[in-house]
Formats: sequence, C-alpha cells, structure tokens
Amino acid sequence: MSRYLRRLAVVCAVIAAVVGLGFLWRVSPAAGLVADGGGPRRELPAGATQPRDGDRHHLRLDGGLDLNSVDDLGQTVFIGVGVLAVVVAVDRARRRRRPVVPRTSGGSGS
Amino acid sequence: MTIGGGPGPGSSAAVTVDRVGASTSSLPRRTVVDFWLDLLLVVAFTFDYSFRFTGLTIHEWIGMVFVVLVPVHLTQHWDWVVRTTRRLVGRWRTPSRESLRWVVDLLLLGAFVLCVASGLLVSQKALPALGLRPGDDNFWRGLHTTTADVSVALTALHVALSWRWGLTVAKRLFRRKAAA
Repeated sequence: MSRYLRRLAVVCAVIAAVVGLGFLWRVSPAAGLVADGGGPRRELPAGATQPRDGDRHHLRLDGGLDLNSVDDLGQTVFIGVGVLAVVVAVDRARRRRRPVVPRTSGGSGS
Repeated sequence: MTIGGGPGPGSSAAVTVDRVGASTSSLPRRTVVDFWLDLLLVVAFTFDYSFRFTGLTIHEWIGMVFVVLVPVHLTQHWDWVVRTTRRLVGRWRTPSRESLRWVVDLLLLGAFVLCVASGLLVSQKALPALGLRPGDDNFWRGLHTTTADVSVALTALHVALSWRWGLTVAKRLFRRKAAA
C-alpha cells in the first residue's frame, strides 16, 4: 500500500509539473498559438451563411443529454473506431508478413 | 503475449497466453481492475468530448472524474512507464512498437493533463457548484479545445496500440462470466 501511495505521489508530482508548464506557456510569447479568439475574424464570403449554433466547439450551457445532438457522440466514436481500424489493419498486415516463431515453454514477453 | 498490468504490460503477476488468447491460468485481479478502469476512461472521454450531446454541466462533471481517474490510471501503469523509459534510453535509433507507444503515451499525458487542468480553470458549472469561481481566460479556453482535439486522436491511438491486450482480456473475461 505504501508503495502504491509513493507511486501516486510521484504521478501527482509529474501532473503538477505538466500543469506548471501550462502556466509558463500562458506567460510565454507562444501563448497566442492556442489563445481562443485571439486572431482577427475572417469576413464571410458573399452568400455564405453564418455558422450554426451546433458547431463543433459551441457549448450548450443547459444541463442534461441532448438526444438531438447524438450525432456529436457518433462523430467521436467514428474517430476512435477509424483509428482503431487503421492500427488493427496495419498490425495484421505486419504479422502476416512476419514468420510465426513457435513459443517455447517458460518464455515470457509483452 | 502477456496479460497483466494493462496495455502497458506492467504487472509482475503476468499470465502467459498463446496467439489465440487461451490462458494457462485465470485472470489476475489486477488485470481485471485495469481492464474496467481503462474501459471506463475510454467511455467517459468519448462522452466528454461529445459536449454538444452531454451539455456543459455533464461535460464538466465528467471532467472532474478524470481528476481522480487519470492519476489512478497512471499509478497502475507506473512500473511500465519507468521500465520502458529505462529500456528506451540510449537506443532511440531502433524504432519499435514499444517506443511508438511510449511516445504516444508521453504526448497523451501532456495533452490530457493540460486539457483537464484548463477545463477546470474555465469551469462555469462544476467548480462554481463547489463554491470556487475560476476566471474566464482566452488562453485556457483555447488550450482546452486544442488539447481536447489532440487528446481524442492520441487516446484513440493509445487504445488501438493495445487492441490485442484488450481483446484477449475481454474474451477471457466474458467467456468466464458466460461459463459461470
């Protein structure tokens, strides 16, 4: 238990260091790289419509799930499944090309 | 392949399995805990990233859950982090799956921690409900959206790089439950 708590303390220190780097970033000249709404707004081309309220980074302030926006959840799942499919396909292709070495008893690996 | 210690295999109580996932002993408790914790994190982040669906209140409270779950997840796999870091130091010229996973995990650690921290710093619902009033800062808001986008891609990659581990544990877990 004490070993687990020691490790947890190290992890918390690492997390605190990352957050500290975030604060340093905020006061550095590179802060503008991520600052929200810092840049000039682009004029919409003639005939273009205003962005919808439901755009990707629009925050809905009221509570509760919105079943009308379930496509948003679908998009997130699509990203995850897409990456998973690519990695699995690459992995399987690599394995097919590699000769299978029979395991010997007592072996370990990861 | 070994089971034990999660996607970054890190448990001393590792169990040897063959290519198709048949085990030589039952799943260690640690592996079961890792599996459910990892699954919970993935599902929670999937919902949290879909904030048009969840709304701000649920979005922020799920974010608060990460404040607890992420350190626990990292602690569970800290052995793997230390061991892999030591192993990779000095042989960067031989890229491997392990080094790719290590780099992805390192980037994910930075992005995810900054995402959760910046989310707390611009919280409008969860922290005020606890009596805290964070400021409204363009930098933290921008950092939150940027790191969230980076984190969702890296999380997908992080999970995908451990798909064999996840599949093997899931098969054995559900087969055992079905047999019980």
